[in-house]
Amino acid sequence: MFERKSGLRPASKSQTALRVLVLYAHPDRNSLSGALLEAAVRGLESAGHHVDVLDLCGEHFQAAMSPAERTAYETDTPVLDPQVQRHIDLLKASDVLIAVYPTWNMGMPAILKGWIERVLVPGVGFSLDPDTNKVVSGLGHLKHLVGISTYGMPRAGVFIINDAGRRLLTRCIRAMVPNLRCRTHWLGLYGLNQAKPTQIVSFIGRVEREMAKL
Amino acid sequence: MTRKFLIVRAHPLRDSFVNAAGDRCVASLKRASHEVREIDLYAEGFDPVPSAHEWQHRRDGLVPELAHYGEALRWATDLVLVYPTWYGGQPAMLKGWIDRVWVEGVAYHLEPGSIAAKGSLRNIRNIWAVTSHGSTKLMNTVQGEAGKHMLQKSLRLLCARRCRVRWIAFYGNDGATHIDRSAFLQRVSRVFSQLR
Repeated sequence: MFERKSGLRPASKSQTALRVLVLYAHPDRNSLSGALLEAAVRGLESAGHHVDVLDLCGEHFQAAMSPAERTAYETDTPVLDPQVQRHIDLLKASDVLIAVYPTWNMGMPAILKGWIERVLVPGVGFSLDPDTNKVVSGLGHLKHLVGISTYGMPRAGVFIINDAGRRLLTRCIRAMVPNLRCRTHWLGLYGLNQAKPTQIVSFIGRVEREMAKL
Repeated sequence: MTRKFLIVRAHPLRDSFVNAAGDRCVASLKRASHEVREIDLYAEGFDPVPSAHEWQHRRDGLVPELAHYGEALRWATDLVLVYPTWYGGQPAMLKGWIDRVWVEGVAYHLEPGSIAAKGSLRNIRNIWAVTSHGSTKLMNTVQGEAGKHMLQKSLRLLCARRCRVRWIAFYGNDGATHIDRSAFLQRVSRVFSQLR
């Protein structure tokens, strides 16, 4: 129990390899978010985990739910797009979900919000009990939820203004995971408007180290 | 005094419940002879994802094909966002509109080296949200109401100094009856017809 203090649990020798799904939601691979993605993948692979990266912008993932999908949402077959089905299959096979994105306007970019809306449809993320209208969770297989994000504002400002992207992942999505042992981790680089290059470099190193300990 | 209302809709289906609420809003405002401009992001085929090129030139202001949205924001005294709350917040379509249009030069100015941006939409005195939630008020409170906080704490700071966020929300749509829904539509009509 006391080992938990440091945030991430140290890797034990008996640890089995995890399947990790990484969502990357930045239009430019050469950005700071791209460097964070590479650091996270390096860390995960050094620990022997199997990593799948979904570059949402690179794949031209459609962000907005279409009218046809909205109509199908309430039927038994809410998935119309084969790309969404491929992402669902990957998600169902994964033990860990990681989102790497820049925080824009105190939230995640539209393409990542759209991924959540279009992929975590009824039957995948949750289902509605037809008798009681209660939400039944569907992501019980996840062991870790991780968010890695950059912020223009300093941490205090983000705290006051409220971090909608973090809330969405650590509360909304976490609430869909009935597995009590699923842990959420948040790695944020705050105050980018004023950050020094050394801070950025050390944060990239931290992301790699923390991901290797997962 | 007539006010200038900019209505922004973001529901994929034109005949949906929130769009019906939006229709009530527009009808009430027109009856009270306020000026109204409407944007329906789905009908206009808005692309919520910026390209890599657009992101690299984000400091240069709005891209030319979105200039009319920036002009509409500078025109309005009241911004009305009509959207369904999905996963606690604005749908990707609306979030993308905010990300691409509320950029430097339109919504704020960022001095090099300063901590936070300075808002420049001082003409907007009220932000209205007309939205529906599938789950209950309790469930949304537990989940953190991220969409409400984004309007109250992030967008509001870029608008007039005493800008208010008016939250007109319908909760528990999954289990609602026809009576609940029509009561909400009446509430929307009432709120927007009593403005001065």
